[in-house]
Amino acid sequence: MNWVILWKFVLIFTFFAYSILVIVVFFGGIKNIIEMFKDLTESAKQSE
Amino acid sequence: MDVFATNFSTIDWIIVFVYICIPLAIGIAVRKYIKQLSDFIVAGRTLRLFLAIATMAGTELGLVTVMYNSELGFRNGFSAFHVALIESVCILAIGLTGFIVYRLRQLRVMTIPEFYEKRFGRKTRIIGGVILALGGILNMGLFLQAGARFMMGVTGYINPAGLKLFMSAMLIMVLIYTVLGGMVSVVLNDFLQFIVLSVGMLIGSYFIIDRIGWEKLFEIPAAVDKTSWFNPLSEGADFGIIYVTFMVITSLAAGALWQSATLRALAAKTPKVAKQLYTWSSISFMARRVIPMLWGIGAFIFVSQTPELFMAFQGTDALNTQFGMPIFIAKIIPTGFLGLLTAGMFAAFMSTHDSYLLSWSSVITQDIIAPIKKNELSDKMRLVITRVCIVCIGIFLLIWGLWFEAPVSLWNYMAVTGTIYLSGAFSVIVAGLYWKKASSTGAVIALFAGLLAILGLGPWTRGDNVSWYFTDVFISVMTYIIVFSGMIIGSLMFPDKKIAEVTK
Repeated sequence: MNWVILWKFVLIFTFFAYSILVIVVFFGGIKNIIEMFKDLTESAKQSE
Repeated sequence: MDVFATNFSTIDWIIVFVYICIPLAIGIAVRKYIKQLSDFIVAGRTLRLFLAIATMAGTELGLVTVMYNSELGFRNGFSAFHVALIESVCILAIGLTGFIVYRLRQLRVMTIPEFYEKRFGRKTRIIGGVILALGGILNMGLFLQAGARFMMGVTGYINPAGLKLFMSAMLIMVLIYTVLGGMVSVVLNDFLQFIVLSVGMLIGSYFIIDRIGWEKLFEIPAAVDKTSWFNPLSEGADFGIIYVTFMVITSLAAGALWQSATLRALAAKTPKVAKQLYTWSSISFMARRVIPMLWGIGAFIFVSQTPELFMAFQGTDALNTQFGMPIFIAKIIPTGFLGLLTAGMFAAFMSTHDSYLLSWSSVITQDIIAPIKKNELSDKMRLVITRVCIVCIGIFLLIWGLWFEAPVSLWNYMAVTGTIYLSGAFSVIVAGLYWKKASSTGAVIALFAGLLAILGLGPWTRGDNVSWYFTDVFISVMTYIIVFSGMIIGSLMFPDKKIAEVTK
């Protein structure tokens, strides 16, 4: 088994996949935060 | 070259101080949304996919994670990558199959021992809660110490008393915003920290690869064993087959059942989102290990090429290997960016602490105190107790974390203390969810058997010539075997008279 090739692949894959994930989560996360506050505001109103 | 020479300057200090005030402001701002216990502990179960991914990554990517992974890279080279690969595959498998987390989310439990009660009765929940809190709080024990070492390495500020004061102040800030805002403030801070730290880590990696050189990175340093630098199974490695086996079991158990991570799945909007969360998070779990390990490897190559630094890590007065990475980045990352990266690391320090404090305090309230009081506590009283517990755990951490020395390497300490809880919980939950014959007696035996993992921290595990059967890793693997045997034998010998509703 060629460990060097395996670890090179793991390293490149990590950089590539993680960069994409950070971009997707950034935009998706902002949308989710707005939705979470809508839910919490409704829940706070109901409990009053 | 001065060992603690650094590019960290006044402007970096200013960046750090401004940045770490943000979580406090968030904690105060979201306080008005916390009306009931479920808002505080699981953010009212309102977490959607992307925010859940960010908060999971934010929690599991702490300063301590960066420290122990970079230490693994510094000591073991690329062979440490196997830990990242195993963990990522386990998380992916949990996400694709929904193993454990899907059913737990379906059952709408807020903590793992809450499942114990639904399946095995109140007594099991209390025992499970005590063991979970014990293992979890001990597991946090060295976070402050690792944080202080990072601080010393990066800033070059080596006055121990000043550092302890600084770390105490950081912990107090975490306590304040966690007590105020609960899970809502935790997820917002996790999101911010995930973005800042991820960008910082990717850019930091660029500086490291640029400094060392891509091809040179894969050349074996003269000072190390040639095979074990890449091969985790080789005889000269610190790892080997037992270690790899331990990593597979630990990654599967911790992936599904580490309370702070599972809390994200339990806070997810639906069981399906809980599954998706794990699938996507397999990438961030890979990154949280691979990137710091790469930094550790870069640090070792840099140190081995600089005789003054290399000497500092040799002999009886050698620097702790945790210092390798921070000393390295302090020298190669430019002023200004170093401040941003350090701020990101401190945000990581805070976001891990907040989630862990919330996890263990909610376990103490929900799984120990409330069941003892036969669930007569009001929601409001539980909220008060949870907040008091957060402060008490914080005080314990200050004493334990700042004044006690690490007995073994940081990652091994974390893995062994984690096993105290994980071994019992893994067998009890797997059997409880997927085996109808699992009984409460079997569960209690398994939970107590998990305490055997404490033996992995004993004095017999230290030194250079420890027999394989006395190593912390072997003791941990044996603990899992004994725990699973205890669960099976106990269940078959002492079956429950009534089958719990949750198995039907």
